[in-house]
Amino acid sequence: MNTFDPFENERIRREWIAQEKSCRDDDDAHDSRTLKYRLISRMLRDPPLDPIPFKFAAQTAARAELAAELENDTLERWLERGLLGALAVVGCISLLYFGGNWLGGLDSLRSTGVQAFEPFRVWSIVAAGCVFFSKLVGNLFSGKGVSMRR
Amino acid sequence: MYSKEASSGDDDRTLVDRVLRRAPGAFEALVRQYQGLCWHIINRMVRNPDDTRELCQETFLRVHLRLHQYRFESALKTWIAQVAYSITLRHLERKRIPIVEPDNIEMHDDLLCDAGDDFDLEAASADEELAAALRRELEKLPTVQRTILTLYHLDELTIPEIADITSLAAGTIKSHLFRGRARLRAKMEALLGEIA
Repeated sequence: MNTFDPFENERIRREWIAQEKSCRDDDDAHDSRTLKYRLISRMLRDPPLDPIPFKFAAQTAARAELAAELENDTLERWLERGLLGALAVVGCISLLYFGGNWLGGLDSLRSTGVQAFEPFRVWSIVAAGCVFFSKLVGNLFSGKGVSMRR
Repeated sequence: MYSKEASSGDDDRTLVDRVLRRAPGAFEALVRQYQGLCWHIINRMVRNPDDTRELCQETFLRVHLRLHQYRFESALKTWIAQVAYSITLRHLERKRIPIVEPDNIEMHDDLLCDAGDDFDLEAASADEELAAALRRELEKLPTVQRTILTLYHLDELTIPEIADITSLAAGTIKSHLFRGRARLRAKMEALLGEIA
């Protein structure tokens, strides 16, 4: 679209001035050109438009607030999953690096004369760890996590 | 001296702060304040009440989502109107509805018929048939031209404000205003000639 300079063409300039003067109803112009544009200006101030629905503002605000709440809810769940996932990873790494020391600690228990119960103790610890880890992973994938809502 | 613009800017800041703090009723107040402007822009472009309602809601949902990004570089009404305009433009583009006609500078002179004598404004204002015919002619104008005429005359926005909303140059806005109004006057001349 070309830039429009109403003053380039004298005829267009006169027409533009008449159009702009017509916007002011208090102007005392009497030429028919300006008066016709005044009628057009009045019509343009009252165009055929569909009315705004009743309670549009209230309904729109409610919809916006619900959308915002849903977005925050999703964010909270993902943060919970991320945190629990991080804890699980740290737990596994700890087990890998320090598990040997823990078993060594269990060995010292054996030396004090509880040898008979040693395998039971070791496997109990392993079993408890497996159950805990399974429940944790199950909760993560089901989306329950740890609820912090009131 | 406290200018009207400064007062309006402070009102915008207060309203935006209240909405961002999630004050009860704040966003509804914002919607109520600007729903008229949005509705005019969108309804003028799509001319369908159901589409207008949906697009208007979409506009305010987008405003609610992105209000924290608003930096007060323009008036709040201009920012909201820009969102409304761009959402509606995308809607029309998806539906492949044309929004401008090719510019033809010669058309300006074709529209400039002689004004004639003795026009009775009050009698013409009362002429329902003439008013209806002009409204029909307004509906036939290209989408952008029709929208700009509404923003200028009904919503009383300035040419720079309309340029910000539509991302069109000020000269282009003037051209649309000129051509649209000249076309309506040419139609009026033809109708008055028929009536006489």
